[in-house]
Amino acid sequence: MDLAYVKKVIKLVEKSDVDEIEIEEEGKKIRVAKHRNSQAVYQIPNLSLPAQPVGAPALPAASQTAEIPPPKTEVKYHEIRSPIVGTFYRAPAPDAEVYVEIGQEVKPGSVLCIVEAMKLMNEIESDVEGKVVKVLAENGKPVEYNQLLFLIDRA
Amino acid sequence: MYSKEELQQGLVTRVIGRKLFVFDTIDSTNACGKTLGDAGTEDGAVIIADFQANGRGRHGRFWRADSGKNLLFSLLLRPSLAKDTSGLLTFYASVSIARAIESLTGSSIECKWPNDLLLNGKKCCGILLENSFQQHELSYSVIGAGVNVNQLEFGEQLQTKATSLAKELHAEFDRKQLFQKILQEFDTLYVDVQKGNFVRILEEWIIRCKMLGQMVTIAQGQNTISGTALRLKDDGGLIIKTTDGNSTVYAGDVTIVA
Repeated sequence: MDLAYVKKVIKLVEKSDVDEIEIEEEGKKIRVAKHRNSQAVYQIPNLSLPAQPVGAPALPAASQTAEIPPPKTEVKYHEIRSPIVGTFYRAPAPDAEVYVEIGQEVKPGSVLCIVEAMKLMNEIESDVEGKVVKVLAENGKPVEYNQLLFLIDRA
Repeated sequence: MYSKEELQQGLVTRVIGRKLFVFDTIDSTNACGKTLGDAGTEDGAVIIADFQANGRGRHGRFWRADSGKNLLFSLLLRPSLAKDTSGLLTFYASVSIARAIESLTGSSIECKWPNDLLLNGKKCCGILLENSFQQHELSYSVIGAGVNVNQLEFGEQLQTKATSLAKELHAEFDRKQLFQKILQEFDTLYVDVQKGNFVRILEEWIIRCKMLGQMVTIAQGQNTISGTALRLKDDGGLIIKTTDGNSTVYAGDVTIVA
């Protein structure tokens, strides 16, 4: 079960009507699942560090902590997606301040951005309380229907 | 100066304008509409002002209108619409206002994609729509409009593009009468909007649109698209036939190539 095989399975699931598939082969198991609803959650599983190969030189403790990020248990981000096709704007006017910065706390009803279509300004509001962790669209650029615009950390 | 009683006298509507907020001066009727929208004010509420101190167009552009000469108002709507039809409110607003102006003046109004109303080829009405979404649900929509009624001066920069009913038709018009006609047309067509049925609205818009079949250029920031304007897509996008095939446009300033 190599990387090419895994990629092939992902593509197959993407194209098919199957939402989830689990394959077990020679003691190795993979599970590929589609997240279709807007409440999808990103999960970063426990990272287990590879075992130190026998005979490899031991790394000094300081550089080890600098190079390997601390294992995260589980990070869940709330997604804000575009309800329409249009142009993405982070501010109400070209010389105005952006609605939200990365790291900013938002509440349900806080305006995050505008998506303009046919000169209709669509204000996209947050539906949750949390902190903006990522802006995934570029100011002034087109966005597609259901395109991911923001990730919000509800923790 | 408007009086609320005067504006509502004889107004027979089902939803639109049953609740009316009248101001002599306001910062912006759309900003007020959004505040009312957030506060939970009912469907069909209308805000009208004699003068806007801070009237806005797209991207915060200033909208100038002389006091006492024009119609400046906003509608707060709460239709339950499928996500891909909320953009069609643009055409609902254009057709409602065009119908009212035509009925008052007897002159034809031309619709230009997406939301300009032209009289004798010049813009006589500006529309600014602002929708508020939470996830894929439309919370409310504010339709703001400025109709140039009796203003005669537009300044050097705008005089080739902007006009008023009075300037083109050489007569003064009663703003109250026009306002009531507009609310009545909005109210009549709102039955269709509430059902999510935009067929009649789009048909009427297309009849008033002269750019279909014409060569157009569309400026989108740094980019320009040129081609023949073919037709409207179901969601209101404009289908353009270019040398690379057909493409649907949702943004940009359209110019008809003579």
